[in-house]
This record gives sequence, C-alpha cells and structure tokens, in this order.
Amino acid sequence: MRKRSLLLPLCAVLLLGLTACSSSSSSPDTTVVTPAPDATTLAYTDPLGSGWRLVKDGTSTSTRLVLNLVGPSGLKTRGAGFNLQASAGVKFTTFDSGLPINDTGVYQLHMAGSTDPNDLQAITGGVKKGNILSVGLYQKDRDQAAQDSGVALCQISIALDSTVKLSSGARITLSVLKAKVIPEDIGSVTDDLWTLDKKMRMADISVAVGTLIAQ
Amino acid sequence: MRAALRGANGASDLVYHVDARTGAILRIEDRMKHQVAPATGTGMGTYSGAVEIPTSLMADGTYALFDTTRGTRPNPYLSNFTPDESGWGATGMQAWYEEHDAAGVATGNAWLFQSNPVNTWGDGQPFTAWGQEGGANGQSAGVDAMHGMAGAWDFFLNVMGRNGMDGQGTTVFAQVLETGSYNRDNASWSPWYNGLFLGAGSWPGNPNGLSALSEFDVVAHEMTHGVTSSTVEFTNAPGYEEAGLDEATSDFFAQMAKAYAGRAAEDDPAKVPATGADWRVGYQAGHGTPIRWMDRPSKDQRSPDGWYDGLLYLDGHYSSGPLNRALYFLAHGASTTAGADDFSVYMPQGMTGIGNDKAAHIWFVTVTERLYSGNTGTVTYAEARKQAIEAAKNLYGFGWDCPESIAVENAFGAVNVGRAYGEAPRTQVLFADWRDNDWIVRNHFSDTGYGHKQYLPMGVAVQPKITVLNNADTSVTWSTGGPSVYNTGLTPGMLGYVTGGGVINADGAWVTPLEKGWFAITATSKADPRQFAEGRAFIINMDADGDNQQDAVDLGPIAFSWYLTQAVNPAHSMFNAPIVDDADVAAFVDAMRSTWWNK
Repeated sequence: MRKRSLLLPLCAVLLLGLTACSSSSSSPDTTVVTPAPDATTLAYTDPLGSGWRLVKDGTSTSTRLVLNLVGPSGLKTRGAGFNLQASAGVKFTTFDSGLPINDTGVYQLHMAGSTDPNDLQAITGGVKKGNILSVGLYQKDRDQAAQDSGVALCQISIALDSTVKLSSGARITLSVLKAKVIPEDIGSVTDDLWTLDKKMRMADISVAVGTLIAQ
Repeated sequence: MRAALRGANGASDLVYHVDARTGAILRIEDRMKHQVAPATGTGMGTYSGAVEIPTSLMADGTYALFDTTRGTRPNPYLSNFTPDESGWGATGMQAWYEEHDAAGVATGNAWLFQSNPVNTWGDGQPFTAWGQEGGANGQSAGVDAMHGMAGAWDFFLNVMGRNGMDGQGTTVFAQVLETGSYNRDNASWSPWYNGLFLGAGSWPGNPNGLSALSEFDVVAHEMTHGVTSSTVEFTNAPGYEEAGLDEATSDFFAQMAKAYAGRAAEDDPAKVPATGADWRVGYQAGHGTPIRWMDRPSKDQRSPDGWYDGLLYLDGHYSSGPLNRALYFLAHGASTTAGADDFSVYMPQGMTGIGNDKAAHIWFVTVTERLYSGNTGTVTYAEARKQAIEAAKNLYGFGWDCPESIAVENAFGAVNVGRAYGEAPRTQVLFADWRDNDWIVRNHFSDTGYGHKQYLPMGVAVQPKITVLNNADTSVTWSTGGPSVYNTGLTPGMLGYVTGGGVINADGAWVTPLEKGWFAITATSKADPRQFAEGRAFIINMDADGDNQQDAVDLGPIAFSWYLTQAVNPAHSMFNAPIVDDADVAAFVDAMRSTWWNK
C-alpha cells in the first residue's frame, strides 16, 4: 500500500510533464492515456505434453484456479511434492482442510489396512517467503502399492491477491523451483542394506506449467 | 487335591499338603502365627539417632524389623514369598535390605532385617559395610525406615483417619540400601509393590550425590505417594502441572508427619502440633543442603516460588515449588519483610497462617476427596486452589467464606495461583496462543513429550504470540531461555535462565537455533515484571532430503522410511531416533504448519 501511494503521485507528475510538452508542441493532436482496467479473473492455459504437469481442474472458477498435478500415464509413484513460485498479484489459497494442498485420493496416505480416521497422514503444505508454495503428499506405508501417476494426484489453488492490483492482461509467472516424487521401487524391507540405501531416494521430476493471465 | 492335617508339633501349627492319589506329602506349611509377638526395639538410626522402633519377637526367638501392629492386609508382592519358620508373613510393616557383595555390587537378593538375637538395632553410622547389610551398620538404615514408616502410618491413621496408604490397611514395606543408577540416589514409592525403595546414596564417593535416602521426611514423602496413588492419582511427568502437585503433596504431608512424630506427650494425639516441621526435605540426606526448601523453593536455583504459564515443563520435583510454598504460607504465614524466606513478592502485605493441623486437614480433604485425576493429567494448579478453598469452607465455614478459606486464597495468591482474597485481577501473561493457538497436542501413542508444545524448524524466523490479560499495557520483554532450561550457566537469582537458543528481537520475532532439541523463550510483562510466561519448542531439522532447504518435499523421505527397521538415514528422523514413525510425521507437519501455513 505504501509503495503504491508513493508511485501514484510520481506518475501524475510525469503525466503532467508530458501534457505540458504536448501543449507546447505544434501538433494539435493530444494523446489520451487510458489505464488498463484492474484484473478480476484468472485465465489458465494448460501446458502441452504428457509428462509431469499442472493442468486446470474442472472445479476452477473465474476467480479461483484449481490446478491438478498429473504425471505420465503408466508411471507408478508413491507420493509427490513440489515448490511453486508465483509472481506478485496472486496468492495460494487453502482447501476445506485448511491446507494449501488437496488430496484427490489416489495416493493411499493411511497405513495399509487401517480404518482409523485419526491415522496420521503424510500430507502438508505452506507458503514460504517469496510467494513460494511448498506442498507434498506421500504414502507413508511401503506396504501400500505404488499408484499410477497419469491422473490428478493432488490439487493446489490460486486466486488474485486483492492487496496487489494487476492490470487486465498481465501475465503471472509460475515457476516450479523443485519437484520430487517417491518412485515405485524404494526397496523392500527384505533387501540388503546396500540395496536399500541405494534405492531409498526421491526422484527429481520436471513439472510443466501453463500460462496464467490476469483478466 | 489337597488335604489338611492339623496337630500340635512343638511350636508349630502345620498344614500338610498331601497328594490324594499317592498319599505323598507334597508340602508342609507352618501356620502358627500367634507366636510372633509385637515388641519395641531400641534403634540407632543413621538419621533418627536413638529411637524406639516397632519390631517383633519371632517364632524362632529372634527379632525382626517386622511390625504386625501396622497393616491388616497382606502385601500383594510379599505374598509371593513362602512363609518361613520364623513366623514371618506378608502382613505387617517391615524393612528389608538389598544384598550386595563386598564391592557393593547388588547380588539380586533382598532380605528382611531379621534373626537378631537381641532387640537392639543399628550403630547410627552412615552405611559402609557392603556385603554385611544385615549387620549393625546396615540396620541403621532399616531403623530409619521403620521409624519413618511408622511415623507416617500413625499420622495418617490417627490424624486423618486413613488406615494405611491405600485406606485398606494393606501392608507396606521398605527396601533400603538400594543401588543401581536409578535407585542409588533416589527414593520411590511403587504402587505395584505397595512399598518403598530407598537408595543407599552415592555420597561421599560422588561429591554431588546424596547420603542414604532413609531420612524421615524422605520416607514419609514416599508413603504419601502411596496415599495419592490410591486417591487422586496424579500424573507425575513433565508436561503436567499435576506432577508438581503430586510432589508437593508428598513434601507437605512428610512435614506434617514429622511434626506429628515429634509431638510432646501432652499433645493431642489426633492433631498435628503447631511446631516440629522444618520445611526442608532431605536436609540430612543432602548432608546439610536440603533436596528441597518449602519456605522458599527457589533456593535450589531450580524450583520456582510462584506459578507461571509454562510451569508444567518442569519435572514435578521442581514444579512442586509453588504448592510447597503455598502450603507453607497456609500453615506458617508470610511476612512483610522483603527478602525474607517467608516473604512473597506476590503478597508483600503478608498473611497469617492457620497452623499445621488445619492446613493438613484442608489439603488432605482436597487431594483425597475433591481432586481426582485418574492419571489423566488434567488437574491444574488453578483447580487445586479452587478445591482447597471449597474444602476449607466446608471444613471450617459451613460452606461459607471463613478465615481458613480466606487463608487458602491468600496462600495461593502468594504463589501467583489466582489472586489473594479481595484482590483485583492480576496481570497474567499466557503463552497458550503461540501462532493462532496451534500448539500441537498429544495425539498418538509415540508422542510421549509434552501436551503443551510446539515443533519448529531450525534457523527460521517465527513470530510467537503472547496474551497479556488484566492490564492495559500488554507490552512484554522477550528473552531466550526460560525456567525450564538448566543445561548451561545459570544467571544468579534468575531461576535458571539461559542465553542462547537462537536470536529473539524486541518484537518477539525469533530466529530459531540451528540445532535440534528443546528451546525456550520467555515473555515478561513490562507493566508487571513478576508476571511472565515460558514457551517451549522442539527444534527440528526438516531437511530430510539433504538439499539444504526445509520444505514440504522433505516429508517424502520420512514417509518412505516409516517403520523401516534398517537402513534408516538419521536425517529422516526428526528426533535422531533409530526408527521413523508417526511422531516424526507429526513433528514435521506441525513445524510446517506453525511456520508456513497460510493464515
């Protein structure tokens, strides 16, 4: 807010300067500067390709974009996490759970065979400094089978940040800074230590992001 | 099949267990009990000096530290042992000793102090005779134990009308000269054994150790645990204010029992004398430095003199401080002399005590009739104050305010538990709302820590929140450390405050330390510096995937190491534990939520 209040008078001074120049010009034409209207909605275009990507979910509205993390069809994984940075003007919002990540139910987050509703699940998220969303959801029990990644594995959501005005047409940058999954093969409890140590690794993935425009 | 044949056989009354098929005698049991006769021994205790102690003349003509006049029901643990020809049985207060070799190494056996041809016990000297624990030197600890047990038993029976610790007359026994890392410098009550285990002490070999733990008020303290463990059933663990209530209750009744045991012949045997308590616990076992001071608990540099939010983090032997002092004030009063041991900064106007006997009755009713935890950990200092006031009203005021109930209010007010009678509400600093009330709570089996705590990642800036009540000036002074942290250099007079543990700014913004473990920060009211609160957090390193970033992605390695019993990377455990379980998941999720959740 303070930045804007300082900048607006400066713009006004520049505009006055231009007007003064114009008035001294021999040309009778004057230029009318019409500022772009403030953006009120979000428009997202899905990325191309069939690899890891963030695609728009059908539940999205004009003001709240819900993105699904989708992986390559046929690739089995046990959980995923990523850090997504957004430029100023939008904010990451939460779901009914209070978390900024929504479990779509593909990954089996509970203990194998458990029907305990209080069974602690490995799902978390937050927004770090720099408008970086950090989320992850993982199967904690290796007895749960790995899941096919070619479906919506989890969701995040984005909305306009009312504290920052964006002009209609402004492009919002979304950058995946880091993304990892738990691969299907993380070793078996019966493996030797060397094999286990070698296989117990997160796998880096590259997540494609579409184009986000404020309108 | 069993058949019994009875008949006189000298001094015995024998029961024959006979195999009905073969007629073979399987076992002969001597049930002749009436030959054991109560006696009074001459004891010379290490601490109690020359005292009369209850003993018995046994069936074999020798004496034992065995008192058939105290205890009408058999001790369930001792009942596992087969009665011998001496006439010993599991019913009747008794003192045992742990057997050692000449080097002081426990053999694993324990014996009753018995087979003494004369009824004279102990040499009054500190114990040194390893390997001969049953001899005169070792008997001195047994004398002290019998003296203390009988004194406490009689106090509860004659003053409070309670028959034994459990109220059922179940036999209590003590086992003295205990060794081992847990027991040597310790004394404990075991509800499973319905008995006491009293350490041999490690002093003077260990200059920081204690002498034998058989001193009267130590014994009576443990006996009182027998009462509370069968009545209010306090949870005695850090993380619960009950722990302090439990320990202080034992300290207090030990003083009352000591005063009672020292009463004059002309004193009313149903009352606690007005004098005789020294308000020190384990003065002799501490060879001149008490284990605890009740008049001013902070003299130990650990126990606080008053309640504050965060007191529950302390071990019960230290969080007992405020109640110990309140009960001292209740009985003894508080002075107006600033700096005196009986002066309270919370009540500089002082107060008049109501004496030992009334204080004892009020607190006994409070813990045996009005408070009940059932090991739930839910009883707080505030609730104890409330119930003690009601107990006083019922005992002495026909349910109305009376001098005794007002004294209770003042005594608790003098240790900052509520306000004194007629006083305006006090400034209160509360840490209960540390980032939007998202303290993690005990929520699963492996979460064995505190019920009022917070996990935070290392090396990040967090903004703790504090609540200041009853004062328009809500400003506080922030500092790192707190009364519960004692691991590094103490600041004299500051109850164990330490520096370190990250960096905290004037506005409370705290950059957490770059190391794992418990850390504390404290907020002190600027308007009333007597009021402060300690918040405690367990700092974890969330960077489980080793990329020098702490983020949600790091939950992955914790997940795939979950309950893996081999090849666990230590970085995957938030506690450096050999196994990763839900405690690690909970700690990680809580740290994430506390620090980076959207608000």
